[in-house]
Amino acid sequence: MSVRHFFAPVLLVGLLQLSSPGRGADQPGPPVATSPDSPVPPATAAPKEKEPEPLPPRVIALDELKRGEVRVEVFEVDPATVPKPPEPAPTDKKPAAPKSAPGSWARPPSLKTDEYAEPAFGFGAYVEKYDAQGIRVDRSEHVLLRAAAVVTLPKGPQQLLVRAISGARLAIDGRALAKTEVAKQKGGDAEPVPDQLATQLVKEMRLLPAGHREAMATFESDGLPHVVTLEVFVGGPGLRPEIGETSVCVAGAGEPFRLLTPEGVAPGQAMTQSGWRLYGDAQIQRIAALNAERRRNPAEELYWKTRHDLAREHAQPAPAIPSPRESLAGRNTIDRFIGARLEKVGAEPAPVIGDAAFLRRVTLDTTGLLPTSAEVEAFLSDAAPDKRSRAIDRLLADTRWADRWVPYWQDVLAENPGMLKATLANSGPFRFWIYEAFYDNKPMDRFVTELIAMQGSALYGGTSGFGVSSQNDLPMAAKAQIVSSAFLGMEMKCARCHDAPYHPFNQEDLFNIAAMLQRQPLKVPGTSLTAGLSGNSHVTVSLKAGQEVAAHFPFKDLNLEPLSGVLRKPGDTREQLAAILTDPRHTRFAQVMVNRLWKELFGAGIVDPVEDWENAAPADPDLLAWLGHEFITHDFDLKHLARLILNSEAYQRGATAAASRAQKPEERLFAGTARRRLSAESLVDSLFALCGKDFDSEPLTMDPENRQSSKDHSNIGVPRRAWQFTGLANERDRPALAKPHALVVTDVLSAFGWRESRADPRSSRDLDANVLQPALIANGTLGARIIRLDDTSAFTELALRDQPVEQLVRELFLRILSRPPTESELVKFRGALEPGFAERRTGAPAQEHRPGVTKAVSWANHLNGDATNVVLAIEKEVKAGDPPTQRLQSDWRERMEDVLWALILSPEFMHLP
Amino acid sequence: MSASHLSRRQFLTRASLAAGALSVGSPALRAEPKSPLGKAEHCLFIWLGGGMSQGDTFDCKPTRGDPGAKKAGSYYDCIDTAIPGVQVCEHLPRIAKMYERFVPIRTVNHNVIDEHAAAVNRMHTGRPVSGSVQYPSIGSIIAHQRKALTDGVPPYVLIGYPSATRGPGFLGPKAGYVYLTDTASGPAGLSRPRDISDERQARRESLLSGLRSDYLDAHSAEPRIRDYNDAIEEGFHLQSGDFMRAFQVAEEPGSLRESYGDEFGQRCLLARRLIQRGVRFIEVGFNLNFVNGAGWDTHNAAQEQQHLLIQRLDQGVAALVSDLEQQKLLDKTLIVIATEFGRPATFDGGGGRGHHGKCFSAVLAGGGLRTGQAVGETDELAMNVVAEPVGVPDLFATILATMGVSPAKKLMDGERPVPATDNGRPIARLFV
Repeated sequence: MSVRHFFAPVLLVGLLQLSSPGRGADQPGPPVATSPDSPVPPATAAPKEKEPEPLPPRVIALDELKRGEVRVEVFEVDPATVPKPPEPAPTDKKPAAPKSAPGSWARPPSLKTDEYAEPAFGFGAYVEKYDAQGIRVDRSEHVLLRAAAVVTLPKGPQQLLVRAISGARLAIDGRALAKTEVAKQKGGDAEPVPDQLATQLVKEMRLLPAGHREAMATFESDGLPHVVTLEVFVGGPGLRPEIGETSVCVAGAGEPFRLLTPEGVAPGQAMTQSGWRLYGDAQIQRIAALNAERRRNPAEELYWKTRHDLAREHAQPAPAIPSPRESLAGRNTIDRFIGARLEKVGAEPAPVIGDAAFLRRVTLDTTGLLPTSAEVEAFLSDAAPDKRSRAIDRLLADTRWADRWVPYWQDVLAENPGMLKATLANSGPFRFWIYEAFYDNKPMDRFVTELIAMQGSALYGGTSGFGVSSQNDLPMAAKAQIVSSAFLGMEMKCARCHDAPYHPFNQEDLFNIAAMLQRQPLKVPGTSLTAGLSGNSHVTVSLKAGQEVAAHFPFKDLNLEPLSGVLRKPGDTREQLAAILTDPRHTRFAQVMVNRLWKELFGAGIVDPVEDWENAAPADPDLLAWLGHEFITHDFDLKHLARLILNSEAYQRGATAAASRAQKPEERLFAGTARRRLSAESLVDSLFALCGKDFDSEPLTMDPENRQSSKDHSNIGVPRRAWQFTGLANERDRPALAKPHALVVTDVLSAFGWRESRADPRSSRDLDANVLQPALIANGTLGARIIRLDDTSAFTELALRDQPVEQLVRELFLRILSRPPTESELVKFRGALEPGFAERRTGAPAQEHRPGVTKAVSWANHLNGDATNVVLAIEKEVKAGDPPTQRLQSDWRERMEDVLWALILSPEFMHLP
Repeated sequence: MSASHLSRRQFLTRASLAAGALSVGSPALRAEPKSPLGKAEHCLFIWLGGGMSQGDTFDCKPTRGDPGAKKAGSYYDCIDTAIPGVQVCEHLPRIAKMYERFVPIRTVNHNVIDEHAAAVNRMHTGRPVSGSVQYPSIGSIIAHQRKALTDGVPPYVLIGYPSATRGPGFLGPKAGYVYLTDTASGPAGLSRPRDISDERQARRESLLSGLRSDYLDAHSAEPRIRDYNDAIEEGFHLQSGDFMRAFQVAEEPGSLRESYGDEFGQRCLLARRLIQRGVRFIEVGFNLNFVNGAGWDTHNAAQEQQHLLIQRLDQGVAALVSDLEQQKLLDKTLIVIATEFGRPATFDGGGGRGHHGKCFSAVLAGGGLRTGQAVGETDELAMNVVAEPVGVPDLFATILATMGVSPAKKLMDGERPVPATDNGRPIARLFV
């Protein structure tokens, strides 16, 4: 980076000379000309108070860049350039943000820490930073992204528009053209509510998001290749490290603004509501893959391979595999265990479900979504005998496996982020770590080890976030309880305040584990003890306030000295705890994990409840032992176990009333599966995937402008899958803090068993039917959005398709119910769609829908009375629903919507086959 | 209320007295003191989000404050009420006139003032936040213990924004609320969208009926399928049933509607209509934040328009109490005016007031209590308790006891028993 410093003064002169002739007298001048820290000749101010001169953009030679892509470099603050504060003691808490100045172009971060490529100058997300274990860590307080590409624009004047949430600087061949203001933390709560449409420079473009700034410049293109660079600050002192929606768009005279793309790449997305959404969705996928590359660490993988070799070596022997009669032997070993039991009690298994039902069930179980109609058609017409196994392999390789499992572990691990001044037993948002662990299919012993290590970013997705528990006198006791129930099937909830009356746990046991998590002996706070108990009470408080409890593992039968080579920091009690929990010589952890998987896939556990084993007998101890052995000897790989289970005949059998009702262990024969309802997340995701619409959710933060203290305001992001929602935190009952779009989705999620607050761990949800469930689909805003044929709906495109009405009905059944219609269904639904079918298309064009309310409410203005009115207006707009397409005759469109209504409300849609 | 219902209730009361008698000398049961139990059938919980200033409302003191001179004191003049020797602020004239139907509790106190959400949680659950138990809200406890009065009616309706704090916690979804933010359309999902004609609805249900019956026939032995199918049916009945008529507030005489005043008053009127249909607990959010931006959180300039909020509260609550009385519902309905904390008599730099938790007011009315008496004595600035402190558990115990629920009732969090209040004791002198 010293190179940049060396050249700076020379380039400064060049910039001044080059920048003037490009602008006509009556064209809007780029802000660079008037910006206070632009390189104007020095004034006569006292030198010591003068702002340091900005460093000019670096000149990048044409041949330094690969053509056809945008090179993105990430710069952080070089620790060598900042005076060192005294070394802080190692602590789990994020150190208080040092008081430092906002980002300055005079001293931009200079230590390059990452580089990757993008297809255009649009940044709704950027790559994360990871430690050696692949856990997210925080970058330096200041981050600078520099995007550069060789761009060739048509000859003539081209308008370039920069949007950014913080300071951005656009340059061509090192000549600064446009600049936005660097963000700094400002606070405020009753400021005027800005009208974004009035603020934005080009009215036709996507509505300017809250807190974003724009700068426009005109570039006289000579039609030749030039190097375009965009530098942008991310975060800053006390701010969240967010890139917002940073972009450079370009337009020739009279043309719409499009994302700027490199030479050799097609013109970018038009910067409209839908254009940015398409680009942003694809970018999320790209970044997820780039992040996965960054997590990869051969040394770490070697360590785990060594451990898994040890596990194979030290695992207890597997139980003998029984040999039931041929007709009960099924498809794999699992079936032999189940078959032997069926034989013994003289029960018959339920028949295997048909292909269409199988594909629906297995797709939901692995991705949380329905199969597409094309997948159903292809599967039905595939005659190969191994098609089910191949489908299972395809689905297990799908990264949506992660989306399917995040909600489960959010519940089990009590992931409970708060977006506003978190005080309600909130954790950090370690959902991102869960997602990435399942994206990578991390072995489950590694999963436990990383969770318990509580390392990396507390606020932005590391496992340190698991260690956070706001307003708790003893967070680690709560975490010990979560860890015990999640991984050992030991429910120690009662032991938090007294010895557990129905379990063989003492209060001290829980505090021992808590002390291991705390990495030091724990003093028992008086508030943790049940007071006022009497002599003949059935609970006993065995600990005294102030008593010190040692950090050691309390359960002797599981407490094995870790195998040699397992501990990397032998003195660390967190690592010790993780090693003891996942020790391959005992079977508890492995069996608890495979049992959790089993229950998710069968609707009933081999041991039930899955989190509380002390008073529950396993339905089939041998099967459980064999599955546990498979898990231990196959790298603690959940997908290996899932593959075994999904391929078993037992999994592929029909749901039966008997299996659905079975309570006692001896009734759980697995002769059939239990009937399962779609989970809240699966339901919502499937509905939105069907209609192809976006949640349209607000960003899950009260501070979309990113100007409030990052201590008080978090941003959970803009959800694209249902698990990404969180409680909307309107304890204050303030209309201005409501999120009307998100509420449409969380209402439905809540009705179906999702918890907006996960203060305590849960391993199974309330799945009982209630009147709100079908009512919200039938009459609620979400249901209306799903069925409304507007110009963003996939059903509108389907309805416009040139095809016979029978084909349309067939396609609807395939998409929604994953099966073709029966003959009588075909007749009935054709009857509804046939009248006016030939004339259904009007020939009208599709229309871009823009929000009617264009004012941006945020924390900074929510106490302004106007903010309340703005949000109430948005509520009204949301209730009014999506504007119907003009491309279809309205009478026919309404009938098509009625057809969709009936299909998504049907009990068949709501339940797994 | 039917006679048999009454006698059953009396039986319960006697039974708990008997249990108390047995426990004399038995320390095991000392944690469950005998509680006086009331006979109220409904609870209407008026929530003043932001933190109502007690000194500017129900604990008015003669010392006038002056934000300009940084002089602590009330922002308004005080007026006499129907309770001798008890005053309220000048913007509560209607309530003042009928104050014998009220019980101002002026010494509520807790220590959570830094963060609204945590204080709102405290004043809804009666407990500190815990990392291992998600406590139920007072509305959910009452919904769980008393259920709805009529079948097919939700026991707990929230008129305001949903939040976990107002939810059922460990009691589970059945003790949860149905919420609405718009009095005209009612709870989301329970009424048919306005643009769906009878004809379209019939077409929809006809298309659905085949799908339902085929599937149900094939899975008739499965309770989960049956229950969901029944829920669909219930939803259809609810749409056209008596419960949803509650939201047609326009049915009420114009003069009555007017007497209730603006949106807050209309919410109170709606609450009365919900009570008449058997809803057990209703939280009415007073969140007219467009008036002064901040609602009751009167920092800085928000203080200047506070009187408009107080006047609306006066009008709505006074109309509600008279109306309930006319409908012979006041004795059966406990009205609670609650807020997350109070405010100091001192002023902030912007002429408004900060947060104050160690002494603030909650107000009860009706519910068959011995109203017409004030509880708690405060100092000359209404900032410190002088006598008869009422902790949050005691306030909750009083509400539960009025509703006939023992404050020591063990609620089950799985297999773990959790008392309904944190050792709260009802204010005994309010019970006959």
